Amino acid sequence: MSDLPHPPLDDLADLRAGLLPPERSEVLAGHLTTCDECSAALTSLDEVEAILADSGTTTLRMPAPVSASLDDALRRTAAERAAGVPSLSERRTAAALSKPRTSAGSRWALAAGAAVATVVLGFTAVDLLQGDGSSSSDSAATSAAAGVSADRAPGQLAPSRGAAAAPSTFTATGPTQPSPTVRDETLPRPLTAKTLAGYAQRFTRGSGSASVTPRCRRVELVPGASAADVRWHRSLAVVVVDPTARRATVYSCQAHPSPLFSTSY
Amino acid sequence: MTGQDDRSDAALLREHVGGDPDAFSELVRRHRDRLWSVALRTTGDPEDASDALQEALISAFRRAESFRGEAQVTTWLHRIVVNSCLDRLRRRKTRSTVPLPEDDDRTTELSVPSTAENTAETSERRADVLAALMQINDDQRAALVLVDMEGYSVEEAAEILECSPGTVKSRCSRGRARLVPLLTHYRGNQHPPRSVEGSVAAAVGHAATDQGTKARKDQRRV
Repeated sequence: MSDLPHPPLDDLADLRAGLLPPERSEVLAGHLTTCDECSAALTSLDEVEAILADSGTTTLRMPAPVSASLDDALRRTAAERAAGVPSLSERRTAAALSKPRTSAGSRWALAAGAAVATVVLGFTAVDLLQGDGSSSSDSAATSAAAGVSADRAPGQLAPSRGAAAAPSTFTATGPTQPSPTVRDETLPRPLTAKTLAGYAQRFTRGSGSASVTPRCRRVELVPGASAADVRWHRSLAVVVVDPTARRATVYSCQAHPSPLFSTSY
Repeated sequence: MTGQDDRSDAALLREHVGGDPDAFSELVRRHRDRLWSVALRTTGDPEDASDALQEALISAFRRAESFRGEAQVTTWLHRIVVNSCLDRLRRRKTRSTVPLPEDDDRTTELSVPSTAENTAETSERRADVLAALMQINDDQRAALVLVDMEGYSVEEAAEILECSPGTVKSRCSRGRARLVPLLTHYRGNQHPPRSVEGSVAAAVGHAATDQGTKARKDQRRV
């Protein structure tokens, strides 16, 4: 047994990985020859590596629902591409814009904004999400009222009108969530704004299927802001866009009252 | 599905860029289990893994022309998938201060191996390893998943993670140190890791040397 103080496990790990300067390595190597405890610790590091390697030899199988959903998403993306550029979702959302494009340099951002900005004002999204049973016919009426062509494809975001309202707060219609504050975070990548455009085609409103949920949260909006129910992968979510702040935020309809993410555009 | 496509990954990607509507799907089909493994092990959550993977692959589909052939196609795909996973983890952290619910059953259920045996013991251990990994820093975990679990070389992992090989080594090293007590605990061994010789090995019934691990990696790389 050595009388030297035992080196921290991090140092032993760095020694094993060859990350220590030579002189420190020598000191540790000397210590290890006399210290059983540290030798055992070193062995345990090797064993951790072995456990990981052992577990890693098994490639996990992608579950069927995940696989099906992925295939579906790729098919849609391929169909969009086949339909030409700008993609189908971009054209749909661009058509739903109430004002003409103003900037050529921000096509994606605009598409993203359009995708989520078409439900203009108020509580309409809330009503839809609460499953008031009026989705199909109401959708046609509101889209006509909004001056948008009613022959849009199923699954497209339904634009609608409501009363301008309230601060940007969220209250749950479900039993649990407290009222959260919306964090102001800017994601480092513009990727998320771009990705938003892809969600347009997954909007559940107007699809005619069982797409509404009474479990989703109530959404209140600042004037000018807009919201839409979307499918976030397989789960329902709400997208809120504040055109003044140029910010899009996605909220889960499930457990977390805080945003899934928020991005500037 | 049963038909073999002889085209290389790079050829598939080129043909996808050229307009072949099925090439990208074929590419994904080829690597989906491997990418799923990386995504699940990196995020530790099937839902997040699924979302991150889907987002990543759609992104890869759209920006395939940006692939210049300077890396392997699989490296490129892994890079996009791992980045997507890490992005998602960051978002998850910013949106919630509540600890994520334990859902071991689900993780176990979804961590089905693609081949070979699936005894209760191995699937339990697999879930334990996943759970332990989730307790360490995201960057360390991402490095360990690639190097120790997936068998990538440090250089390849550095390319995927877009950092230096030294950084990968350091993340792996510190990550392993973090895992020592975690995996000992999961093995049901009550002794602190440094007090008993071979505590982890005794619990797992598995000992390895540098050489053994390396040999395994080499084997898996072939």
